[in-house]
This record gives sequence, C-alpha cells and structure tokens, in this order.
Amino acid sequence: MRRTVEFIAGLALLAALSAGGTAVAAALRLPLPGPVIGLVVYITLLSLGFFPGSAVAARGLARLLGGLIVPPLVATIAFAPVLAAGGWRLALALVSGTLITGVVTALTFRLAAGR
Amino acid sequence: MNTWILSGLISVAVLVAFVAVVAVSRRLGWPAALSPVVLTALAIGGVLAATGTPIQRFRDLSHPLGLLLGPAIVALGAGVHDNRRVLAAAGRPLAVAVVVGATVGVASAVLLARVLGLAPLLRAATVTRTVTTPFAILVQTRVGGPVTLAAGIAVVMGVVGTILLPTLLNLLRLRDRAALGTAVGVAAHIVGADAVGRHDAVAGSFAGAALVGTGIVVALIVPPLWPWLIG
Repeated sequence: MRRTVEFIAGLALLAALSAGGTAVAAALRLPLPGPVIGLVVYITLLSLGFFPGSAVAARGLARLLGGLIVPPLVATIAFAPVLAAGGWRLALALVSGTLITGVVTALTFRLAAGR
Repeated sequence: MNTWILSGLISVAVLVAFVAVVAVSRRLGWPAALSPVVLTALAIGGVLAATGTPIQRFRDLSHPLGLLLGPAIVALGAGVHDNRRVLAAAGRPLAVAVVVGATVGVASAVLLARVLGLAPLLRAATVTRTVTTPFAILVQTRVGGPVTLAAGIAVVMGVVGTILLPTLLNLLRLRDRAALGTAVGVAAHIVGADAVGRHDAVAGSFAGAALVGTGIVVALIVPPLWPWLIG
C-alpha cells in the first residue's frame, strides 16, 4: 500500500515538474521545451536529497519511454515517399553525420580526460 | 464506442505491445538491429494496414501517450542520479565531450544537408538527428518543425549508430569505455545507451548521462538558432 502511494506520488511529481517547466518556459518566453527545465530541476532535487522515493516511479516511466514514441514512428510510414525522394543523399548525410559526431565526441572525451 | 475509452484502450494496447516486444528482444539477447521501438511501430503499422485504419486516426486515438512524454523526459533524471558516483569521477571530460559532441551533431546535420542539397523539409527534420526521439519531438514541436519525420529519423539513426559506431571507434583505437559510452550516448542516444549498457555497466552509465546532456544542449541551442539553421 505504501509503495503504491509512493509510486503515484512519484508520477505526480514528474507530471508537476513537466507542467511546471512548461509554465516557466511560457512565462519567461524561453525557447527551450518545458520538460527539459523539469528534468534539470529534478536532477537538482534528487542530488540535494529531496524526493528519493520518486526514483522508483521515474525508473518505471523511463522504461516505457520507447512505447511513448511509437505513434510518431508509425506516422513516419506516411512520409515514406519523402524519405525515398531523399535517396542516397539523405542516407549519406545521416550516416556520415552520426559517425562524425560519435568520433569527435570520443576524441574530445579523451583529450579532456588527458588520456 | 466512446472516443475517450477507445483512446485509452488504444494507448494501453500500444504500451502492452511495446513491453511484449521488449520481452521477446530480451529472449533473443537484445539484437542491436532489431530495436523494440521500430519492431513495435512496424507491427502496429501492419495492423493498421490490414484493418484499413488511416494513420491519422491512430495518431489521434493514441494522443494520451504524447501527454506522458514530458513526465517521462523528467523521469530520465533518476538514471543520471543513480550513476552519479561513476559520472562524478569523470565529470569534466564528460561535460566537455557532451557539449562539443552535441554541437557537432547539430552542425554536421545542418552542413551535410546543405552540401548534399536535401529538400527543405528533410533539412529541417535532420537537425535533431543526434537527440533521442522524445527530445526531437519536444524541440521540433517547440519550433514548429516536421515532428513526425524528425522522430522517425532520430530512431533510425539511433539504430544505425548503435550498429556502426562501436566498430568504427574500435578500428580507430578509441577503446576507452567511458569515451565509447559517451560517444554512443551523444550520437546514437537512447538506442545506443540501451545496447552498450547491457554489455558494460560503466559505458552504459556514461551513455545514459550523455544522451540526457545532449538532449539538454540541443534543446538550448536549436530553438533560438532555428531560422538560421534551416534558412
């Protein structure tokens, strides 16, 4: 019973941080998405020792994140002709960009770590 | 049937299907090429085609899942917090690599799309290639970009990066686990973080923090620069 209450309270906290971030972004006319503000605030709260019990609900919801992005992915099927029209140019842009990004990141890490 | 009830049922069905596909993927030893998200989407696409349901109708009915996206993004904070000790030991290189990597991720997408002469719609959709799909959806929604197309591109590039990037880094002798994890997290986001984390907990921690950090950096730099990035 206590666990159930803690889980629901955790979900409510996550929803409140997401909505709060969105409200702050709108009020201050910030260009960044509201939930990102909520995320930064949540990491800060956890590291200060607040709401440790919410982590169980957070881990559970984070595991479902993949399921939440299924609808837009299904809708991508409707864009198949646009993607096909992009052809090899699109594939080259995406694949080389991803590999360049990964290699630069790893090199930067090594450089900054001095190893 | 009442639309609200139908909408709720469809949303729960999508999540159940996803959890079932994840369970099957675990049985098969998590094959990198078979991303559970992509498999679930293909299965649902097949059901829609077989039943003659328009995709837009499915999108409308699955709307409640979109409402959970914000709270789920906030929830990623718990994973970062869980790994704080491992991450704190390499806090500086991690932070520097994420900021530089995320910036190169956006810049490479914009420049390559221009050089290769992609259509404006595709140029806009590729800007968020390097962030995990929920962040891509948030950012593209914020700037009024092609949300759906960008979501699809982000997932597919996560899968491609997960397959190619570790091999390439290995060939270049960049074998440091923390550096590899960070690179996979920045370039192949959540798909890559999932994959490396199953084989190596340290690399997985770095990848998890890197994908969250990349999402934050891209969410900060893309919206203000948007007109210039796609112009």
